[in-house]
Amino acid sequence: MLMKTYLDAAEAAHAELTRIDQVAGDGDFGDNLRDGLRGVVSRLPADADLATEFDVAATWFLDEVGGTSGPLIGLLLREIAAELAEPGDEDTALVAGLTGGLAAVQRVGEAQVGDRTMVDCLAPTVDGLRAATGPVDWTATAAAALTHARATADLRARMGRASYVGERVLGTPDAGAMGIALLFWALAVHRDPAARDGLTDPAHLDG
Amino acid sequence: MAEAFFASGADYVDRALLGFARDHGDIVELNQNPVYVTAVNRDPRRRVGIVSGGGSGHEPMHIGLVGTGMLDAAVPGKVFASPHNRQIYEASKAVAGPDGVLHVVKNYTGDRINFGIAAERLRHDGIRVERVLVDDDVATESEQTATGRRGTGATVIVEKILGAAADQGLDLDGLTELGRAVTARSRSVAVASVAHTSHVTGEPGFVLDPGQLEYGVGIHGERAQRSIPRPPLEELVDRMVADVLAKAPAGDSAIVLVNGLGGTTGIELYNVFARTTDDLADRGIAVAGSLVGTWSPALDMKGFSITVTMLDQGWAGLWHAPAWTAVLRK
Repeated sequence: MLMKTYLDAAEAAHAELTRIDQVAGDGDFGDNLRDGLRGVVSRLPADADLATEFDVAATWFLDEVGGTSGPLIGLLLREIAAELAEPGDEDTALVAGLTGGLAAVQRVGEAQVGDRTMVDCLAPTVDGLRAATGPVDWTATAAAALTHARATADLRARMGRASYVGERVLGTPDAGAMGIALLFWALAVHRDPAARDGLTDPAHLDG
Repeated sequence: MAEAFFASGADYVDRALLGFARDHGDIVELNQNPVYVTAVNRDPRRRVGIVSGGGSGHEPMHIGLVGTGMLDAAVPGKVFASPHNRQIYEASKAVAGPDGVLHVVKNYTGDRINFGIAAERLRHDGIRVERVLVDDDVATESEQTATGRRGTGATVIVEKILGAAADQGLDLDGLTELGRAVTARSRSVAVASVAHTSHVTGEPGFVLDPGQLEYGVGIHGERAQRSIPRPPLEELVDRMVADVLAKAPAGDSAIVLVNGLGGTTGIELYNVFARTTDDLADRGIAVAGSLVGTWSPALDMKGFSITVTMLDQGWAGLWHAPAWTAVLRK
């Protein structure tokens, strides 16, 4: 179950997410992501298909998860769920859903690449997926997503609460971007459990 | 320490809404999960539901402006905090007209994002939705920030004019265009001599040195970028009117709002209004409509704002059109 795998990653990364969010924000990102995913997993039927998983997760994050990033993740999940609900190839739907989700997150949050938000992980990772030819390599995508998320450590914040603390965030990556990297980690492990061995342990996001 | 008279526990915002709804049961209906208020009566010609909202602590905005001729729904958040997107989404679904929903949003990051998420969900359901973003506060006009001018008192004027136009059957695109035009012709500035009382600590939000005045405060208790020595009221109002008009389009007729920030008395606000209208008359600007009172406070802050909306053709008629809400009745 993909959302269970995402929850496992969020549990492992919880302490790290909380620590990095405390540098720039109010430190609740780890709680919001973990508790949100716990809520999703507890509500999923055991035989849920991937479209149902994303649909249940989208509604839960939009309706129940606090902060700003929780509902924004809900928007992303909603777009993926909508693509998966259509007949067709699953990977094609995932890439289309991620693309639509990125657009929705940017429409609403108005963040650009370089502003130090979840968009700094999502946008380049989605660009990489769309540029690739042949079957999707989710393991390579997950590794790339973590690299993009870590690179936010070099960015000053232009959006959100972190914009108030100036240079103090430099050296620490953005928690929201890390939360998105964990989604790609979960997609890779969901597709190929053996991929776990070649990917960074979510408990050590910050390298 | 100035303790507020809130109900015990954390639900005093919800209790206040319950009290408001009981007081005005002929005008509004309260939905409790999620929390929002809708109008009991609406003009049958209305094709678009108008929804506004924002943090609590600004009463009577926006719940007091729900009713015939104004808002179809208002969505309050916690004190000084944006409402959750689910509240906005459900309220919008409840009042959507055949031509959809118009969101009137004050320019604050949290409000923009939460209304934005709700709008995405409404579109996903096939409901048309547009937004009018109110950004009238000249104190926050700066090249150095990406956030833009805050939305403050002009919201009341925008909502009155849009409500009247909606009652005449104007469609969603027309209302959106009108709302943006009214916003573009509206500017405000606010001052405070004493901070609000923090709803969390019970202490003043900030402390001013004696004889100082905070010039350019926000409605969430935000301090200004600078304090100034406190001038006599006449000089202060002259300066505020000049600053507002410097950023407003030219015109010869205006709607004026003198808004108390919660701790300012009626006699003070009418002193301000008298001087404001003198200033406008000196500049050849006629006052075609006005509001004086506590319309959008920052809890109990002692201060006031001045808003000027330069009129365009037909707007005076919309301003004076009938409305029946808890606090604005024409």
